[in-house]
Amino acid sequence: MDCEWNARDDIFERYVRNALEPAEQEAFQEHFFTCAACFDKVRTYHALRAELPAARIDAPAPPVRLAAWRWEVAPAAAILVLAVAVVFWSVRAPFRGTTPAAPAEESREAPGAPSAIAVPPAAVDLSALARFDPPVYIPLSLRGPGGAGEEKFQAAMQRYAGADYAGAISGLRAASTLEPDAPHYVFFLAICELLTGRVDSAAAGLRRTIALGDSPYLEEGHFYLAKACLQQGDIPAARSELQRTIERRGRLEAAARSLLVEVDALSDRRDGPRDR
Amino acid sequence: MTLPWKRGSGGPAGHQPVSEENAEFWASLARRVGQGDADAEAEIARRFELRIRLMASVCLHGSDAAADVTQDTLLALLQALRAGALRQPEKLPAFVVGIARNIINHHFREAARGIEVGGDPPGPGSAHVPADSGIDAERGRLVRGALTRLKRLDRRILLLTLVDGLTPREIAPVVGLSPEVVRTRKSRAIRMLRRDIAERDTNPTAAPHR
Repeated sequence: MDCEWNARDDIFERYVRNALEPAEQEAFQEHFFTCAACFDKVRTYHALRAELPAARIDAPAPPVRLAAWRWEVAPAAAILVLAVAVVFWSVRAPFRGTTPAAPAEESREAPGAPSAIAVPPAAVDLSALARFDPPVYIPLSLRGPGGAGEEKFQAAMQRYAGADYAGAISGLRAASTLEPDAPHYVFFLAICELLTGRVDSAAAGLRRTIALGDSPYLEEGHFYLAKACLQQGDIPAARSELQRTIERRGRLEAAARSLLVEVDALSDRRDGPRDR
Repeated sequence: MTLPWKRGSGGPAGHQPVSEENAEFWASLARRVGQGDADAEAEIARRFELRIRLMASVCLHGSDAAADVTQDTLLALLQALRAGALRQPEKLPAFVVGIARNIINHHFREAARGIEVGGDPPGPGSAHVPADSGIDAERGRLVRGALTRLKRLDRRILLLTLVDGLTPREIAPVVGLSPEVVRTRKSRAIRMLRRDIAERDTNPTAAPHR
């Protein structure tokens, strides 16, 4: 084979993930438009990427070889856990204030204004209620090294900041694979999935965010899960998540109250008034 | 008709320009389209349609819009060739890539404008993993079959590489192997898979051309 590109598997891997540098991508595209061997290989890699997620279902649990490494990494792990805990609690307040943007519904009424709550919009439908503005992400400057997935998370969030939600998914998924219990990885992956129409996966991710317990994303987890439920057409589940958002008495309480009123009004128009 | 495309800035080492022999072929093909040869137009579509769809699918993260981009690109290409707008016909493949790139960029601009004015988020097909493996259904079927003949661990390594974007060093602790073993298993799995596909492919890649 006389093609220098063809031997470089990494080029094909990165190409189908849309992860080549622009100049390299441009050159490679022009090449495989004329090279049958590379075109054939692109076909295979592209199909692999499409078919592999189905193979995830029966993937076995990764073999655990604790005995081989646990004592080597135990001190580092302890330091890491301590560092994460310190960072987590020290940044919690600013994070809550900056990360999630005020959802659109929040602007419709002042918190606790019953008159606004009493008059739901007339022409609102389920898809309108399910719509939301993407939560704004403001990068934090953390001291010390981040976790294993931090680099991928930051790279993905650069795409997120550029409204490339589909493009951010790959990096967020990688970060979540490396650190499955990091709530911000799980949360923003779910948000990106929700923004790109992968509603079932997004709902699962938001439930996982909630299941991770008390984190800066717990309230948002409930609120955006309500949005996901609305996208799925599951009004009872959406109501339940909105109630939980309200119960937390947080920043999204007013938005959740407003949305709940609109959901109830829509539900009444569809099914007739009922006791709640 | 003027098409707003510009030539790429050149590639890294390994980039092979179109050979002289190919250049003559492409120039002839472009000229024939300019002369209204319907067979030449069909040849253009046969050679480039799947390439453009794959390129669009990658750049648009698997969006359903890849099909529209492909059609728009082919349409713009044929119109340009009919109008004699290609000044260097021997560089036809690069011209096609340029048109496709412009149409993809236009799609991004339109999508961004839609979000700014409160439009709907992208549709279900826009997730990063191509939702429509039917873009290349035949290859998809072969790959699906070949995957079932791979070991589970190798499938998982490929999944973590191609879908999750992890490096062998990052995969190693996930699967409990050393990075070197991960790297070896990945290369071997790809080789086996490609051999499997080659043995079963009754219709090899259209437009074998170098």
